[in-house]
Amino acid sequence: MKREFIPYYLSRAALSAIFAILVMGFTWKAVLVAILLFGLFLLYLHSGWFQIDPNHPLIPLRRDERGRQIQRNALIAAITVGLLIYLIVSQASRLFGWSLVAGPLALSLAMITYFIAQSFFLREHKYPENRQNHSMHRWINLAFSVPKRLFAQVSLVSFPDADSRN
Amino acid sequence: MTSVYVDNRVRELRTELGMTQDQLAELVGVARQSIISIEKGRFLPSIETALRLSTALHVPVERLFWIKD
Repeated sequence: MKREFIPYYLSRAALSAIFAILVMGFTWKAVLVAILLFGLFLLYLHSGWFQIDPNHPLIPLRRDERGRQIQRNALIAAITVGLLIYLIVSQASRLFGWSLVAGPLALSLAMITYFIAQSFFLREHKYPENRQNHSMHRWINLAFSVPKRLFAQVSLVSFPDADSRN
Repeated sequence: MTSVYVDNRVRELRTELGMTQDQLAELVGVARQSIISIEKGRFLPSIETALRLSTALHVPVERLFWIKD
């Protein structure tokens, strides 16, 4: 704990408590949720994943270029997973008469994919395009290159790492 | 298509200057994990960050990064 981040600690503790009470009410589960949320806020501040801006103690976390690259990759993974799930579930529901609702399921899985992919890349700090010697990363790189190229075509935004390193 | 591997001596120069990863990260304006990734060759920084690193470590950028054959 650092003194300069006291505003961050206090504000996040309050946020965690308010969120936990709104979701769980005044129960013991709310205490657990609040502790968990506050723990995540602490982790984000002290993990070294984010650039810290001491001039803004209330909102000190910033994404640097690596963080933005990871966020972009996580977003691409989430959209790809979401679209695939939507297509598969909607077609399967039509063909087999299942009563699954494709939209909410795809959205939920896409959101989960976003957070898992982001945590994975931030923690591992060895994401696909810079780790080509390892066979697993070759496969991840290959899996990423297809949606990246697709998104580059659709959005007319160039992705240098996808274009120049593969 | 070829893959280019860029090597660097960020860690060596940082320890020579007695700097921690946290201090270098703060000087350069990136996260500590980015410095770790750069030192391990797992993340290739942009030209801007490379120039900031070279300024922080007091060496020309070509002494800091080079293409490994």
